[in-house]
Amino acid sequence: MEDMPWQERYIINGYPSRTRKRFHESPLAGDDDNDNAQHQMRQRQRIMTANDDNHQGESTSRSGSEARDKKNVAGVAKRLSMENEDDDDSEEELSVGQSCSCYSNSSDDYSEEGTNEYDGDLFDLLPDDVLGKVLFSGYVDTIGLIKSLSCVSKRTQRVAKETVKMLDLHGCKQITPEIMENVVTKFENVSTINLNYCTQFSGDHLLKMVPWSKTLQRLHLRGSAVKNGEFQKFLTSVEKHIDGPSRLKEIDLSAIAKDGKLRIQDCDVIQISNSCPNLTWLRLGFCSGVTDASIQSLGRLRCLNTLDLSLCTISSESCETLSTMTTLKSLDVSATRVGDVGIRKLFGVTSKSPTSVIAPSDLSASVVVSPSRTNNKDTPMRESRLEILRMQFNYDFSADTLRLIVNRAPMLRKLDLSHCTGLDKDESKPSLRALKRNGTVIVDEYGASGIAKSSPHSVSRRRSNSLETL
Amino acid sequence: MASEESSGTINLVSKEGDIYEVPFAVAKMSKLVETMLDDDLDDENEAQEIPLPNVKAAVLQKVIEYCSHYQTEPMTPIQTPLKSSKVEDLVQNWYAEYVKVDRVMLFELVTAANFMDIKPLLDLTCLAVSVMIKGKTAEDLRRIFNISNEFSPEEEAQVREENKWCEQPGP
Repeated sequence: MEDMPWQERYIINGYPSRTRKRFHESPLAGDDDNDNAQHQMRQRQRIMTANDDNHQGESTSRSGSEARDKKNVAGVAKRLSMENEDDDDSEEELSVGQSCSCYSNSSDDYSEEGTNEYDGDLFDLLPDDVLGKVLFSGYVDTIGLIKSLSCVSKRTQRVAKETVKMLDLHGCKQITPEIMENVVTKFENVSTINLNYCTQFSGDHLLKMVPWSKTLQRLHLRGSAVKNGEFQKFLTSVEKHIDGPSRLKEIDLSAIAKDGKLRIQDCDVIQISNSCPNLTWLRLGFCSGVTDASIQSLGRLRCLNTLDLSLCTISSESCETLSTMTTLKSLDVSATRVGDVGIRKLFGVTSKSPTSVIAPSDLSASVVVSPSRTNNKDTPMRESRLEILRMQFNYDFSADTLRLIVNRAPMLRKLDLSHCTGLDKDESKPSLRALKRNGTVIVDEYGASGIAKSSPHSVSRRRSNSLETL
Repeated sequence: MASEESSGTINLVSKEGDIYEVPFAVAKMSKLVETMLDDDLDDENEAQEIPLPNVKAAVLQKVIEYCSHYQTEPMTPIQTPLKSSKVEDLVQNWYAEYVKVDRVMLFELVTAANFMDIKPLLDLTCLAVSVMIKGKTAEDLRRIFNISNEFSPEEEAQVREENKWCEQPGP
């Protein structure tokens, strides 16, 4: 029986109410196999007392799944043979493993009374990959998964180990390094882990995740307690483990409190640039230990789409590197010291010479060609591909630079100018209007305005599993 | 090439040999059927027959019911994280009622949806199973799904100890 493909196994299984009635009426056939007789007795008992939710599942001595399956098939096959008037096989002679190919109950309406006739392990109906889909598609929360689902049987444990790819443990402040180690052994193929707001999570915990180096792609540690140099250590361990650069694509190391200075520092950022060439998404918000010194190394990340440097200790110097990062689609430099000069540098203007103004009516949604670019010798021809720019609390930001943005950022979908108190309202009006006409949503301290255009180059959406969205 | 009578329908054949005639659009919801359709261009005058030896008649009927209804009222896509733990909150009423079947049928629907490669049905049935599973302890689950406890008392105690941290207040 064990050699049978799983599909055939489930096809033999019994079916609802019609089966039940006949089963009671016909005597059990004599068996060669003593086990089968006992098994069928149990079946009868079960059917008589079963109801939908409180399936008591008298787990009588079952010697293991293989033997169990044998009995199942024998018992069920017998039942089927009894229900079928057209059946060729006689009741007595039906042996284990023979598939009943000729029962036809298609004309019957399926009874939805909800009596569970099948007395075997329901999970056995599903092959491993389907069981994985059913149990571990992410519909059940992670704690429930760990606590219950994976402990149901050895099989679910094994399927869980191979299938579970995403763990959401945000806010679980009770996790210790030992617990982390245990979790890592339970699930081998985790690619996404959310540990945001686990304020106890430190370098020791991090090191326990090195076994996941082959599969881990998204690591969210917002608000953690990972200190200076610890992330660097983690990354070097990862590289050693897989003998190559890490596979990480998303990293969130934002701090949530002022002690961010104690956390991620320049050395960690430089290590990230060296070890994570596939990185597309990086958040270092409130990491005041990150300075201009390490931003230059970030330029090495050729796949980076999203970068959050809000509240970092960076100045306009970093913006030169940032302007060279052509893959960048979303940038947050809120509450930093980049100032007006920094934003200009971001869009390729290294000197303070004024650019000529483009009348708003000349702008169309699809084409932006700014004559000023050819006039200004120090400006590169390249346009910025930025789609989202956040620059809250940029007190120096001027209307002049806003005009520059209008010219240089044709793909801008969202611009956050909250608390840019230096921005002259009247001077900036035409530019803001032009941006809105182009489909950019302007966000200020009063909210968002403007109708967003559907951008064909929109930033690819991450799976939202209570992870922070942009 | 195809005659008018057959151009609209496909015959799906269950495990038992019953033939169900379904419109093209309905049958094509199954990626498996779709791929088999392209290959078989022999019959011009009769509707093509697609054998589904792994799907029982009653299950196939249910599947066809789903796909037919989907043409008139597409199911709202189910997205994680789930907004609610009740099926009624996540999909339309008809679909919520549709999955109110007994466990065996539900599991057979899962298998059929997987075999026939019908993603919305697979999502819905997996959701229904997960609603059944959610919040239950391992013992409850063993009882409901009739799974024997393979763990020795020592192993159970060890697992319980390992997972003690799950009980503590978390997020």
